[in-house]
Amino acid sequence: MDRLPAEILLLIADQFLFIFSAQRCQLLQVCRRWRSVLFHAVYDRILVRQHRLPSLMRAIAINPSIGSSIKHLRIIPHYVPKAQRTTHEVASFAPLIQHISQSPEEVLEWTIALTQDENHAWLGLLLVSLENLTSLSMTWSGRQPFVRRIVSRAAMREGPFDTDPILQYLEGFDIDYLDHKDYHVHQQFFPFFHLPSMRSIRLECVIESTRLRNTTALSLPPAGTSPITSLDLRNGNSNKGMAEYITACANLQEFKYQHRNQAIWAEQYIGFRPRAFYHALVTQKHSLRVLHLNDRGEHDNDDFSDDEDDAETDDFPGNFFGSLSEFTQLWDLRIPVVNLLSFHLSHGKKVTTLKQILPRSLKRLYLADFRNEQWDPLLRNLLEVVALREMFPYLERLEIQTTAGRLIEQRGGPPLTVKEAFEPLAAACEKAGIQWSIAQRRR
Amino acid sequence: MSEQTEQNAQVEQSAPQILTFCTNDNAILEVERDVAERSVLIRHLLEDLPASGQAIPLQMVNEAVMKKVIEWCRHHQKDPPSTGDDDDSRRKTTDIEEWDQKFMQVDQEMLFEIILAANFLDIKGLLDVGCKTVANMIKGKSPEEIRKTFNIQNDFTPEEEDQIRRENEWAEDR
Repeated sequence: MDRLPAEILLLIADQFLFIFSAQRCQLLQVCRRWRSVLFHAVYDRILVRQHRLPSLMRAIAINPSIGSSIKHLRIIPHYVPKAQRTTHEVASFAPLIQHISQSPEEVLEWTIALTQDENHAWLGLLLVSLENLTSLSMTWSGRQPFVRRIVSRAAMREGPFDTDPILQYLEGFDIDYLDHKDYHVHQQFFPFFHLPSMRSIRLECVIESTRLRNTTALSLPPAGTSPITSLDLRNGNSNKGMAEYITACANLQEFKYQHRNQAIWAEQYIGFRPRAFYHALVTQKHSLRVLHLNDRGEHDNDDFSDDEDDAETDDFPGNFFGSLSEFTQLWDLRIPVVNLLSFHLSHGKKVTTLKQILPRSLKRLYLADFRNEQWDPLLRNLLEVVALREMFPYLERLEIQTTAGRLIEQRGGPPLTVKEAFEPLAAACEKAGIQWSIAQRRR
Repeated sequence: MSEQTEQNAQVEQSAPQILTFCTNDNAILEVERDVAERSVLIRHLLEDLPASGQAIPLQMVNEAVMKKVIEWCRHHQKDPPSTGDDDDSRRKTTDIEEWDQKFMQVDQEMLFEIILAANFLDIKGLLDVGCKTVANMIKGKSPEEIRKTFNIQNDFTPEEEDQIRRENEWAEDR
């Protein structure tokens, strides 16, 4: 074993996924050589259970190189009943608490929260100690006041982070799904849009609600200045098309959004409003490459979706997303059929065909939630697109997804299965060298 | 096509399909070219040098190990090329094909020699299987058991051991 060079020892350690933290840490206890070779690799990416955050913080206090080695941190929830919570001794962290607090009252607040095993306080303290943190993945329960406070101060370069900046290398922030009643007001995450290295944010259950607007001053950076290039919002609810997030970005390349109608469980219901997203995303038409807009989420399939409180009105029906012809970089588009095809209801008839609203750069088009009644206009429009190779030279894949089990009625002929109904398109795709498929999905 | 390139192409076409290797203990081994080319090092060597018919020296590998390596390459001759370094399947320690498991049932000395040879010859699949085999020998063991398995001396002081144990408390599975 002694003869195996460091690179082989690293490959062996790499066989243990980072989720097996205990096993990976045990490798560091074998001998000095293993510890020296594997230390940075083991601590580069770690998974820690929430209730173990105080232990991790203590480990960093013993050995600060642990803190500087951690680049990717994933925290998973671990429920500990209040009665079983440990009371922590926090005297050894007093200098750090003093350093990050802005008043004696704040020192006291931190001390009480840490002593009483409040996980979000320990995480707040941890974030100050991870100087090279690149990605953070966690669940977000409650309001996480201490984490928000630290991130907000880091983002705004408030003291002490004006002279001693933190989170300067954070590129990715990721919130996991907790439960179906979970929701987070979107303003809470504004500070992340200020961080200089931030590129990718993935959030579960974020709601854009003006009703719950927080009074705390959490401002977004000026429009078009955030370095974020990827936004992935799942199980979200939005009445303004997440416009504040989208327009804050300088060059958004990827936007994914899946809608759920319940904004706040059993309290507030807001349906999907594609036009609102369109108005926001137009500000990113120069950079957007990937758009997955509610292809797996909840939406009304009606042609009209009137929202009385929707301030954005134009000549198009509410269920129509909008023309993508000026999105010059867009190559991957996933969207419900109804949101792309509802242009035919436009009063002004500014747009009459699909070929007018798809971008030349398109490579992959995935149309979700096809319904039988959309068959005729959809087939006609797609046949036209496929035939125009000079207009869409990069198109290589076309897919529709349907939950429909019923046969499609046609005038003057027998009912057709979905596959039969699209046979002319399948043939046209084959001739044009475009991959064609129909995906069945359960409702 | 230039005259020189054309000549090289002709030499390549007429190159022998059996290659000869000389191991570091002076054994001569003959191997089909297709089998030997599982090694990226050998493939590049053959691309760069015109065929001379002379034995290719392998100074890092002995006869016994090279025979094992050839056996593995022959069995995996038709495998598709690797998909890249970040392939998740590579990281599942238990995921070793039955044939490979049997192939790796050798003493530790030979296992490490095979790993070193796979690394030297740049045979990614064999290197992965070797590393996975060692990882499986480590899996579920305490530091003391790992030391015992691989005959490693514990060179930490009791104080160091205590500190490392405290450092690692956050990772304990409870």
